[in-house]
Amino acid sequence: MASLSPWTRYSLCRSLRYCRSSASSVLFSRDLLRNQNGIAGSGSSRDNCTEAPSPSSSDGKQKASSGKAVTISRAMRAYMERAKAHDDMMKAEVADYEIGKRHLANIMGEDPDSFTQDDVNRAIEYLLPSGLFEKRARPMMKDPYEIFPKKKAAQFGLDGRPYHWLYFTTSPNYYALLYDIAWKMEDLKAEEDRLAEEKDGKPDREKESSDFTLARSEWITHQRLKDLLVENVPEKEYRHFLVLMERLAAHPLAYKMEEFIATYREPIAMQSQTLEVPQIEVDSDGRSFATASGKRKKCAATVRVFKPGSGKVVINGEDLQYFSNFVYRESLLFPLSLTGLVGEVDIEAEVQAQGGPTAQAGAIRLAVSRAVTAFVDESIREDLRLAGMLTEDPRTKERKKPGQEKARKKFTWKKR
Amino acid sequence: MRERLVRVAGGMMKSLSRTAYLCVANDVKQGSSRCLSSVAEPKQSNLRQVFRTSEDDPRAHTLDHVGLFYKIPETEVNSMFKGCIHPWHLRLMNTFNEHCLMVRKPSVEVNGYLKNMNFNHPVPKFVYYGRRGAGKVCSLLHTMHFCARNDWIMVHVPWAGQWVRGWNKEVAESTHKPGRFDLPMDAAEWLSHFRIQNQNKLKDLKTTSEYIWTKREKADVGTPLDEIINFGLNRFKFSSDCVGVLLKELRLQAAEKGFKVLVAINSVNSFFVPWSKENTLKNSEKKQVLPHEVSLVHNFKKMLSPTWNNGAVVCTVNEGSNDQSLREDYTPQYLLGQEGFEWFDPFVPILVPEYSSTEALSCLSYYIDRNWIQNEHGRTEEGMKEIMFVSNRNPFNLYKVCSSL
Repeated sequence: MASLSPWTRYSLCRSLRYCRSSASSVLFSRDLLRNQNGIAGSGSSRDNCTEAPSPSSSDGKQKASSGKAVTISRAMRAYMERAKAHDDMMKAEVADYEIGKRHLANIMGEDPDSFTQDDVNRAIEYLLPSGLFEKRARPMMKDPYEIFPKKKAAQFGLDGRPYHWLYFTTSPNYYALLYDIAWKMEDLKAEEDRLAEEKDGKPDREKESSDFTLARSEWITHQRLKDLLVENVPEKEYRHFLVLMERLAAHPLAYKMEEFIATYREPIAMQSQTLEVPQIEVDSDGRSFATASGKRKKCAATVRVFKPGSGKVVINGEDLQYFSNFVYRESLLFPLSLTGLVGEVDIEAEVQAQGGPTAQAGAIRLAVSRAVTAFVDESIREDLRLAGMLTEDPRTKERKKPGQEKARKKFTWKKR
Repeated sequence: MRERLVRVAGGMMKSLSRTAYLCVANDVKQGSSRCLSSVAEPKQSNLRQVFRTSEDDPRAHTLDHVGLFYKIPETEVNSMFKGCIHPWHLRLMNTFNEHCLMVRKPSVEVNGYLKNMNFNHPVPKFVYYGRRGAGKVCSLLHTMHFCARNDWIMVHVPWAGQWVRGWNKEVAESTHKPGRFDLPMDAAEWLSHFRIQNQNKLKDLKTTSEYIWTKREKADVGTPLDEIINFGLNRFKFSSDCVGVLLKELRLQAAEKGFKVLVAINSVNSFFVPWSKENTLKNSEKKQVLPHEVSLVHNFKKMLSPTWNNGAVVCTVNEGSNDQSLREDYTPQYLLGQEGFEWFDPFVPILVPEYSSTEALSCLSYYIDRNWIQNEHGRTEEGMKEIMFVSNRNPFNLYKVCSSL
């Protein structure tokens, strides 16, 4: 490796780095390595590698030690030039980033050597505060490899011949995938015929009851397929892919292709399993409680739910009388009656007294529902979620517009 | 049917805390023992005893009866309690076809004090206070019932706030003292209320001094109080003065003649806190009339002074009778204000709390018994818990929640 020209070595390192970073760039690194092998293979000995292609050679020909000239196609040369330019640019960017990070650490008065990306984010947020709604529009400082889009490696060798047999379809990976699916389908059909002959038309019952099911997962998204193939797949082609996969999965013997199908499916996680359940703590009196907070409109509430309790409710130091209207008390009752904990837990709520009673009651209800999840089992938690108790209400007051009386209302229009 | 109900009751008991369970169980036991003395009560215990007591006499009510409903006889409702029960409560009672009150701890406590009081001392004063709808007036009614059964003379003001509010009321310059104002209609109304409440108790009461109404009309010494009342009702102009005379005679004669007087005033804080809304009382010059300038209020305030004995004062203080800005707290000290507090001092404040879980359960059982709760879920244990939660066990809120079920 050390004998490679500097830029090639660098790009190799980069490719290895990609190897670690994400599965989608495996293709890239593989191609690049194949690229190197191709170079090595074209010469007769390892020494050839030392004279590996250099874009600086003007005539595009290299003298190998054996005396045979290695032809580099024009396309390859152009690619190499582009790749070098890109790598140089990235190197400069990385250097800039490193130095910038150290500057930032000094500005923040922290140790530059142990300054992590999290610290950078924090520093940027502190030094350049931004109220822009879109997070990606706010100022940021990140590793250049995270910011600049990835480049696809060369798809052809020095002689200008493409590696992939479907190169001229312009989407080789995509069509290779369709090809795979089609052949798997054929395999299944052949298998089915064979089984029909063997078993006299009786399908394999015992195997059929295996746990192959599509219910717990879904097909990968369009974007995910694009990432996987490192190719632009139009919407229409994606739908074509889905049709073929559906057909394959619907085959009675599809369980034999389970592994293949699974690579194009993503598991569906139960929403309530992904919820964060608050920890049960124990206070100085030995009572167990859970703490949670909730929001509604502009109001935020923090709630402690004690179990066992006697149904006592304390809101900002008052009892339920805090809400004079029954509607608000009922809204607090709902998560409790759903979980069957009415009269069995004590609730202590701190709510900001800003905003109306609806907002306050809504915030407390959300917080209570979240806290109560600590004391109930999985199925009830799922019930709570399905009832919408664990979902934050995102609605807020719409802003008033200039030139209008209110958010939507217009001034009275007079003809003259 | 009975078995089913008992089973429901058993389920409820299970869910209650142990103390509550013991309380109910205790009562069932006592109920059966009480039955021996009462008339033709079946011996076996049924669900009714969980929320109802056969002991109709408030004199016999003890802490064992707390949380149980007792029935007030029809005759007393039409005499003693006429105009005393709040309209919504009376409507509810009429709907239920019986007049039941719950025995609650505050009134049992006060009745106990009245039972063992040394009446040679200046009048004792008790003030019921508590949240709105917590049952202050019902506690007062229970105390009044207790005193009425003991043949006390009732001096009862159903709602003192009426005397400081206007609604185009007739306000006249006082005939007795300039600078004070009479409310002829209100005074006459009160006189008739007084007469109804004390129908057979005023026979041998006569005036002890001479009262001159006008140059020609006067009441000699020894005029029966009945006649004074009649005079006030016939001559509205002097009704306020008649009230003054009546109260003065009661004060003077209570100790001498040996009859006892109960002064029961609902929302007594209106006597001390000016009502400054649009409907405030105004005199002929369109100036606001302050409470202490109203002769009725002046006369009744004298009943609160410790200048007489052989009687008792039991009042309530009520947030609702104060201005909107003066409703932050429900304690007597806050509601009476500095002047009222000093006037009342010393007194025994009695807190009327919200229902305990036993009381709330008893009330709900009563409502279910009367078919007031018709919703199927509302009759289950789970539903009862929900009602208790939403109403926060406040008696009035409990009624409001249940009235739509």
